[in-house]
Amino acid sequence: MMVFLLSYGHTFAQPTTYSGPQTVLIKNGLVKTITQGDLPNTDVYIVNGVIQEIGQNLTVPSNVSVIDATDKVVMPGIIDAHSHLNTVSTNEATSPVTAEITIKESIDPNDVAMYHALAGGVTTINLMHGSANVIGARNATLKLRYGADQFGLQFQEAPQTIKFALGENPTRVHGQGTGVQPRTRMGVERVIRDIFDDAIEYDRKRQEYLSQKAAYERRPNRVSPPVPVAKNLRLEVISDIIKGNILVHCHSYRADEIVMLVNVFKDYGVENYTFQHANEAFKVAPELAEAGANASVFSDWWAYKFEVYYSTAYNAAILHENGVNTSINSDSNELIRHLNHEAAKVVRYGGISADDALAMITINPAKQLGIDEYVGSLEVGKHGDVSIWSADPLSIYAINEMTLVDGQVLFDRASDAADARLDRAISYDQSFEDLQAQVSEEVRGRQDDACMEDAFILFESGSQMEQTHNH
Amino acid sequence: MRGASWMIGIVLLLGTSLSVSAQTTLPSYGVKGVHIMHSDGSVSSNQTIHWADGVIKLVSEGESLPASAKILVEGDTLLVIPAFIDGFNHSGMPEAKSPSSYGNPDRPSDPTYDRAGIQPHRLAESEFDVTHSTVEALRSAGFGAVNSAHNGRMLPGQASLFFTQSVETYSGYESPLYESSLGYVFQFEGAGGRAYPSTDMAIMARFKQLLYDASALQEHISYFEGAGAEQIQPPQRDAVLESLFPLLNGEKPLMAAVDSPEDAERVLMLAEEFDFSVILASNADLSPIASKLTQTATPVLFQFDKPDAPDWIEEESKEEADDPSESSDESSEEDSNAEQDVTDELSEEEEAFRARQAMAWDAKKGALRSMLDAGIMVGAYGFDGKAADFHEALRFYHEEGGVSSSELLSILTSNSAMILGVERLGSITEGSIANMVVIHGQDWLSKDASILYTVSDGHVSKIDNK
Repeated sequence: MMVFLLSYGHTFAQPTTYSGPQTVLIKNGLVKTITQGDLPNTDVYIVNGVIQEIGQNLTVPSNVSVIDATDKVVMPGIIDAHSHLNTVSTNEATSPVTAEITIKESIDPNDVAMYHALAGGVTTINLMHGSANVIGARNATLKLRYGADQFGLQFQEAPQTIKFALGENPTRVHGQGTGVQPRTRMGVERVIRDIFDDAIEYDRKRQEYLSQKAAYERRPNRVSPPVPVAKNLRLEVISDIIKGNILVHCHSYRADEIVMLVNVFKDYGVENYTFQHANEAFKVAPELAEAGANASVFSDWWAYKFEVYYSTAYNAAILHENGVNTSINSDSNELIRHLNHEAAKVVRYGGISADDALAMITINPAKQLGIDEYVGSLEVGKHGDVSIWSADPLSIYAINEMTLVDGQVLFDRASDAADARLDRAISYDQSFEDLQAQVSEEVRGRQDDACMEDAFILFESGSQMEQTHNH
Repeated sequence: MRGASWMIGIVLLLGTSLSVSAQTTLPSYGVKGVHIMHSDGSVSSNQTIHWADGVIKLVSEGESLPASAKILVEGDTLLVIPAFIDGFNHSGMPEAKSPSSYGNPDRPSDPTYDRAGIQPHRLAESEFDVTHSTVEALRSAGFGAVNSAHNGRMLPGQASLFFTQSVETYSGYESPLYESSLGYVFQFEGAGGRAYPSTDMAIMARFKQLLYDASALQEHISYFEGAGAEQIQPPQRDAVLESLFPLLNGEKPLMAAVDSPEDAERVLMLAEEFDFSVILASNADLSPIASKLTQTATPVLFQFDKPDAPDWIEEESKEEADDPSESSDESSEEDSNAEQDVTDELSEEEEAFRARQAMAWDAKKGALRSMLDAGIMVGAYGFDGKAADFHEALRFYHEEGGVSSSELLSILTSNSAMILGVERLGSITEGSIANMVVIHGQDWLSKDASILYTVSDGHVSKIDNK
């Protein structure tokens, strides 16, 4: 859309839309596999959306389409572990716990923002609920199959994840906003422990009821009927977190609250979780490493509210050096278009290796989302999700030239659609001026309040709050 | 499979026969020598129609009327069509209480049913007012029946089918109810203010939890009432949950207002989980999900709102229309030159914008056509109270949207009747309910045609076309 605004000379072709897994040969590129080093002059052969072979001078059937990647850098599609790119609504900010809700029922499959992200080489996102609630909704891991419907966008093999949030946002929305717990960081912990206890109790009663019911149905004359225990969606989801079926992604900033959650999770046996933002995580990096916790952070974004002042551009590097699996995320429809630059900053400040930096936007977030078996590196058997760059992607001069999802080219800079909106997304009655205003708003820069979207409508005197960043 | 049971429907002859003053004699009327256009678009001429007690007794060519029948009108300048059926509306119902009038609940996450907009126990007949101006407007526009429900939010109530007319007696108006509770109205309308649910995704979750709770209560009641009841504690009764049992048991459909294919898909997700049937009400083109709709036998009630063309298309078509008369006039020639200049100044970008918007506008105009072509069962809903606008919208979808006049008539009559499962309505045959419109003119859709009478439940309303 940025191109749509600025380039009058372009043809007004429409974007390619997703049509299903494809077969394609990417020929003679510098292949950055992420997990198995860099392979010069190498081909990547994708068959029906899955990488079948990686090697030099591969022979493929003559009818296979070929992308010449000579002098280009071929890397896995970028994965963003924190996004609100195309939600219908982001926050159900009326309750401190909303685990019963799922972002999978709030996906907008028509948003041009997906194309913008593809242009930055991104192929997979964690589409998250906002940070208004201590326990928010379940998230949706999406593949950016631009043009697919709300079901087709979903990364079917991905495990379920859920959003938690600590600190200022939930205490402000609920404690200060409506006078319900939590009002303080202590209260946040209490909310989590209480609902976890409720879920354990619920699960016990529900299982007991189901087995009594089964017994009654087998022998209705000999066994008395049970008192039904209704299925409780909220507690069932919480129970699944405790059982390890759902991965937690927790919005957090301060070291003390991060350690608090580590301790809570230790008590309940919850493992394999990720702290999102986590600007002070560097202070407790050894503790996180010991707990096996992940961190998904900004490279250098902070000071948008009080709890985010104690920050450093060395955060990711320190976490990484301490053995914490760390990713760099966007939480922004603008930043998502240059996550390669964000990763490069970790090299610039923290001095980590270029390979480790690229891992922070590919295989590391894949692990945090539980999808590293499918994406995040270029290996035989993984999805054909690829971005092709004009130069080393960590260079400020590098440009993403092509992005493939399931082997299909969904962004090609050479035939970049001037107006990348989907046909079905075009309004019959929006004026040109309105659209221009909307587009310039969208491309202007980092969006305010992405994480607190929809929450502010609930504040009666929110004018002051609305001016602050809220991630 | 799903939907078959309600589609067949059991037609109960409620309405006037059950009203307080059962001794009222329903009028016996007839028309002679008229043309009839049936709901399938076929026309028969020189027809005699006789109706009494709210039922059509005779439809035949050239016959005379029984002596007892009052001849309403006669002559071959008249056309009689089945009266329209509004498949889903809030006509005759009071305004909804606004969320702000309730204030913010003490527990925003768990407001009362009323505050959350969860009121599926409300039956429309508890408050339907046949003398309401919105019902009078329906009659003027040619509607003989309306499936009406309370105003409200997520689950405002159950819709019931009413005649648009009844008679006043010493004890008040006779009940215009034809059939009670044809389904549950559902809309993506949050509780408002600081109360759960406030988003579509939360409405989905709240709806599921309601049905889980209803399911457990239904089971508890059946255990309690069944054998071995002495073993089990009494259930906590709950009128709201209990009102949902027929939905849970697949006996009644969810009537869901949606404004996009995506929202329609979300409703179908609920229907799939709980195995009930759905009637969708929408002004959007749902043809992109046609296969899902046809596979689940989900019909669509289409709202006849005339959309406004984008300003630039409006201006262009005005210019085209004005051009011939103005070409001889010098001053207006200057005007049109000026306008031409404006068009010339368009950037390539805006040209491209217009090209795509023109396609979107064509798609909007063709929404109904696309749905019919995709094999979706389409009826009508949502008449908003202005007869002239409604008829203009019908003509719009005919002239600009490529839908034939007979297709429109069946959408408004027999299709809506079939979707609601009230198949004694929507046609002019012997034994049908006497719901008809008497029109002066040969083409019911034409601007020159005028409605003389709307007949509903056999009662005749003279329509004042001014």
